[in-house]
Amino acid sequence: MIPGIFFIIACLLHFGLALFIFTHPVSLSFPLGVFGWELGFRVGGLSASVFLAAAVFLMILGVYTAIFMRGKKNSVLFLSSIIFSALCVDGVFLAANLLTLLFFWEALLIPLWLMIASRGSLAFKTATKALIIVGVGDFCLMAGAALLWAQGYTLWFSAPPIMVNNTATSVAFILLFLGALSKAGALPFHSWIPDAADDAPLPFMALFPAVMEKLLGIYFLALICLEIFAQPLPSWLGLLMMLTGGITIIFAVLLALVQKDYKKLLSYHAISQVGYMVLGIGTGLPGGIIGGLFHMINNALYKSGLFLTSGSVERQAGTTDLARLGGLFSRMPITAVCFIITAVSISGVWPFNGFFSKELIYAAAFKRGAIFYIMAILGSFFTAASFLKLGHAAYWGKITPVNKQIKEAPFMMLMPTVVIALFCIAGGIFHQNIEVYITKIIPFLNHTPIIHNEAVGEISGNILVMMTLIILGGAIINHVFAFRMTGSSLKAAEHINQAPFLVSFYRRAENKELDPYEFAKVGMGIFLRWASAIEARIENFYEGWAPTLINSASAALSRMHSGNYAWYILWAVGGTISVIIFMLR
Amino acid sequence: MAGWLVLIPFIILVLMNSPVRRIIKHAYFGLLLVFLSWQLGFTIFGSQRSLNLGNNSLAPWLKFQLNIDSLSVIVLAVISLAGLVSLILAQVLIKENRPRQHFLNLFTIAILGMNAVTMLEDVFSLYVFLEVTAVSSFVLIALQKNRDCLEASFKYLVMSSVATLLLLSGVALFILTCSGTSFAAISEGMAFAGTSPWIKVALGLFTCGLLIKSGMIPFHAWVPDAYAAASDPVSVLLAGAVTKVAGLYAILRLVIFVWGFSPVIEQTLLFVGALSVVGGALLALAQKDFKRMLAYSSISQLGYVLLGLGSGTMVGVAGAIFHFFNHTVFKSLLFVNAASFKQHTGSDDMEKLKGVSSVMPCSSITSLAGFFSGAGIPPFAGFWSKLLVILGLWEASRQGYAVIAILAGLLTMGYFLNLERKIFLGGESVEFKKHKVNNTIVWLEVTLALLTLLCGLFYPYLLEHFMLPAAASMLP
Repeated sequence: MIPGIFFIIACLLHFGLALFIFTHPVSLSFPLGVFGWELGFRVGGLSASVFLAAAVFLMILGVYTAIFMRGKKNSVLFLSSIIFSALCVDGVFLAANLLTLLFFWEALLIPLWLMIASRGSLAFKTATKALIIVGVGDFCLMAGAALLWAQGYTLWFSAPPIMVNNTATSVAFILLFLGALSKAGALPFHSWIPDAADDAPLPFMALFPAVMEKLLGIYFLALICLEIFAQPLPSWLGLLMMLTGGITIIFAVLLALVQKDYKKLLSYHAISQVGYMVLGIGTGLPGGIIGGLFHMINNALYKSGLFLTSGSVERQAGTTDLARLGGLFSRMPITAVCFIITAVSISGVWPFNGFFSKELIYAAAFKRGAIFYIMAILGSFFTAASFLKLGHAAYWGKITPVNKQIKEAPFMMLMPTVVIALFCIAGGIFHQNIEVYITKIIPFLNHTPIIHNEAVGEISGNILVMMTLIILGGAIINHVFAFRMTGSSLKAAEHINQAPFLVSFYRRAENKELDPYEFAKVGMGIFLRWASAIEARIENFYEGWAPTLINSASAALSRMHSGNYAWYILWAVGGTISVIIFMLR
Repeated sequence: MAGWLVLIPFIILVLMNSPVRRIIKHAYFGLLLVFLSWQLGFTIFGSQRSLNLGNNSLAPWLKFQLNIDSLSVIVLAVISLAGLVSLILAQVLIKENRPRQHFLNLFTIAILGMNAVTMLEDVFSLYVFLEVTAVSSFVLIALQKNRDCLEASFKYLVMSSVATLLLLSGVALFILTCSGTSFAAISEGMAFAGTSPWIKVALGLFTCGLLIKSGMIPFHAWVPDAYAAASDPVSVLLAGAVTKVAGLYAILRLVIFVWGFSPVIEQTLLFVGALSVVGGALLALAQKDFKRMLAYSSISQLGYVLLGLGSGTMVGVAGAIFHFFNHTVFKSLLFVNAASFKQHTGSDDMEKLKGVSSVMPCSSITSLAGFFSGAGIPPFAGFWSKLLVILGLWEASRQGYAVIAILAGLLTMGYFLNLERKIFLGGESVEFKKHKVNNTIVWLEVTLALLTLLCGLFYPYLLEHFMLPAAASMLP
C-alpha cells in the first residue's frame, strides 16, 4: 500500500513539475567534452505540449496502476520502473538535439524490459522479444543520427531543415522513420505488443503501447517530417509512409477481428491505430498532419480507456477470455458505459473525438489517392465490427452463474476510466479548438491557416461523412446478420475468417508465419550456426594452444631459475655486455 | 628542509643506539611514525627547497647537494607510504624486543639512504647511498636467520656486488671523461664529448648496474628469493620502496635529467621493459607461493614503468610516474594481505588459501582491490596509469610495444585470477578456525584499498596536479 501511495504522490508531483516547466519555457545545454557534443533541452512548441500530455496521462493512469498493482508480485519493481520510464520519456520530449533524444530513447529500453519482466519468469521471453524488436528500431535511429552527423549536419533541432535530395539523406530519413515506427509499434515492429498483452501487467499495456509509445513514436515522426527534414519530402518517401500506414491498419485490424481475448483484441487495435497516424502525417498535407497528431491524442485517450476497462474486468471477473465473459452490463454498469464511449470513439462515430481526427485523415488520404482512402475506411469497418463483437460478447448476452457474483470495480479504478471517457467526449465537443491549437504550435502549419471545415470541405465533407456513416451502418448490419446466422456473438466474425484469400492469411498468422520476429529468429539460427563454427575455432585458440603455449613458456622460464649462481651472474653480465654493444653500435 | 629528511633519520638512529635508548625504549616506533607521516604530509603540501653540504675544496667531484623537485616529491611520498605500512606491520608482527630493535635500526638506515638517493645530484653520492640502502636491506632480509633468508640475502649480496662493480666502473669512466660526477657536469660532458665510446660504455655500465638493483629481467635473479624469504614488513619495504628507489627511480632521474632521450637509450629501456613485463607475468603464472608470485608480479609491473619512460613522451612519463606510485599502493596492500593470510594458514602456499574468504572476508575483499588495480581494471588507479603508459607508447609510434603492454595485461589478469579463484572459490575449508583477525592489519588493508580506489576516482585531479607537472618540468 505504502509504495502505491508514494507512487501516486510521485505522479502528482511529476505533473506539477511538468506544468511548471510547460509554463516557464527555458533552454539548457551541458557540454559533454568530446566531439563538441552537448546535452541540450528545450521547452516549446509541439514537444512541450506532448510532454504535458504525457504527464497528464501518467497522473491519471498512475492512480489506476497503484490500485491495480496492490498486492501483486513485484509491484514495487513495476512502479519504480514506471518512474524510471517517466524520466526517459520526459528526456525525449525535452531534448533539443538528436543526441540527447537518442540517449533517453535508448535508456527507455531498460524500464521497458523491467516492466514486462516484472510479471514473473514467464514474461521474460516476451520482455526479451520486446527488447530485441524495439532495440532493432532504436539501432536504426542511432544509425540514422550517425549518418546525418557523418554528413556534416548539426544534430540540433533548431538548425535549418535538411533537404532530402540525395542518397545519404534519404537513407538517414528512412532509418529515422524506422526508429519512429518501432517505438510507435507499427508494422513491421508490432509483434511483441500482442504477446505483451498476454504476459505483461495490464497497466503496462494501458500506459505504454497505448499511450507513451504512441506519443513518443508519432512525436518523433512529426519531428523528422516537420523539423529535421524539410517539407515537401520526395513523393516516393510520402508514398512509402502512406503505404506503411495503410498496410498497418488493414493487417492489424484483420487480426484483431478474430481474437477471442479482451486484452489481445485491444492490443491489435493498438497497432492498427498507429497506421492512421502514419498515414495522416505521411500525406504531407496540413489536414493530414493535424489529423495525425489529433489522432495521436485521441488514440491515447480511448485506447488507454479501453485497456482500463479490460483491467477492471480482469480484476473483477478473474479472466479476459471472451468465451467466459458475458452480460457484464448489469454487474459493472459504469465500466460498461465507459467501454461504450471509448469504443464508439475508436470506431469513429460522430460526435466523439475519433470521428473528427479520422475525417481529417480520410480527406487527406483521399486527396493523395483513392487506394489509401479505401484502406483507411476498410480499417474503420473492421474496427467497428470487432468492437461490436467485443462489446456484445463481454457486456451483453447471457451471464454465466459464476459471473453473477461480480461487483463493480473499486472507485479509485473507476475514476480514471470515467475521466478518460469524459475526455473522449470533450475531445469531440472541442475538436475545433484542438485543431486550431495544433495549427498554432507547429511552425510548418502557421502559414497555412487550415482548420477542420476547410480541410474536409474541399472535397465536400458531406460525401466523406456519408461514406463513413454507410460503413458504420454496414458494420452493424454485418454484425447483426452474422450473429443471427451463427447464434453466437463470439462467432460473429467467423465469416470473415473463412472468406477466400483471408483463410490462408489467418492460417499463416496463427502459425506465426507473419511475425517478422520469427523470420529474424530463423535468420538468427543460420547466423548462429555460422558463428558457432567460428566460435569453436576461437575457443580452440583460447582453450587449446594459447594456454599450452603460455604454460610451457612459463614452465620453461621457471626451470631456468635453478638456483645456480653462475647462471644468474652470467645473465646479468650477458645483459650488460649486450647493452654496451648495443650502445656502442 | 631537504636536509632534515636525511638528518632526522640519522638523529633517530643515533638516539636509538646511544645510552639514552634505555629511557625511551618504546618511543622509537612513535618517533619514526611521526617522522614518516611528516614526510608524507610534507611531500603532499610542501615546497621545493635545496641544500648544500660539504665543501668544494676537498675534491671537485665530492659535492653533497640535495635538491627536491616535482619528481622527488612523488618518490618521497612513495618512500614514506611504503615505510609507514612496513613499520606498522612490523609493530604488529615482530613481537620480541630485540628483533624489533634490529628491524627499527636497519629500517631507519634504509629510509635515510632512500631519502638521500631521492634528492642527490651527483652519481658518486648516488652510488654511496644506493649501497647504504642495499647493505641495510641485506641484513633486513636475513633478519629471521633461517636457511631461506640467509640464502636469499646472500644471493642479493652476490648480485648486488656485480651491480657495485658496474656502478663503480661507470663512475670511474665518468670521472675520466667528464669534469666531475655531478649531474650537470655529466650532461655537459655528454654534450661536449657525446660520441666518445668511453662515455657510452660508462652509460651502459651505470644503467645495467641500476637495472640489477631494480631487478629487471635478465638482471632479476635475486628478486623472487629476497621478497619471498624476507619477513612480511621487509617484503613491503623491498617491493614498495627499496627496489624502486634504489633502481628504477635512479634510472628515471638519470635518463630524464642527465642522459636525455636518445633513440639508443629509449630502445634499451623499451626492450628491457617489455622483457620484464612479459617474462615477469609468465613466471608469476607458474608460482605456487603467494609472495613469490607477488615478486614476479613486481618485476612485470615495474616493466611498465620502464616502458612509459622509454616512450619518451609526456603522457608516457606521466604514466610511468603514476604507475610507480600505484604499484607501491597495491603491492603493499597485497603483501599485507599475504601477511594476514599467513597468520591463519601458517605459510605462503596458495593451495592452502582455498576458501579463506569465508573466514577472512576483509582481507579477501581488499585483495580484490589490489587485483583490480594491478590488472588494470577501471576505475582503480592501476588502470589509468597503464592506460597512460600505453597511450604514451602509441604517441611515440611504438605500436608493437603498446600491443605487448596490452597483451601482458591479460597475463596479469591470469595470475591474479588464479589467486582470487583460490581465495574465493575454494569452498568452505574446515582447516581454518575462526580466530580474531588483527584489527591493525585490517585497518591497514582497508586504508590501502580505499587509497587505490580513491586514486583511481580522483585520477584527473592527481594527473593535473602531480603527474603532468612532474612530467612537464622534466621534458623539454
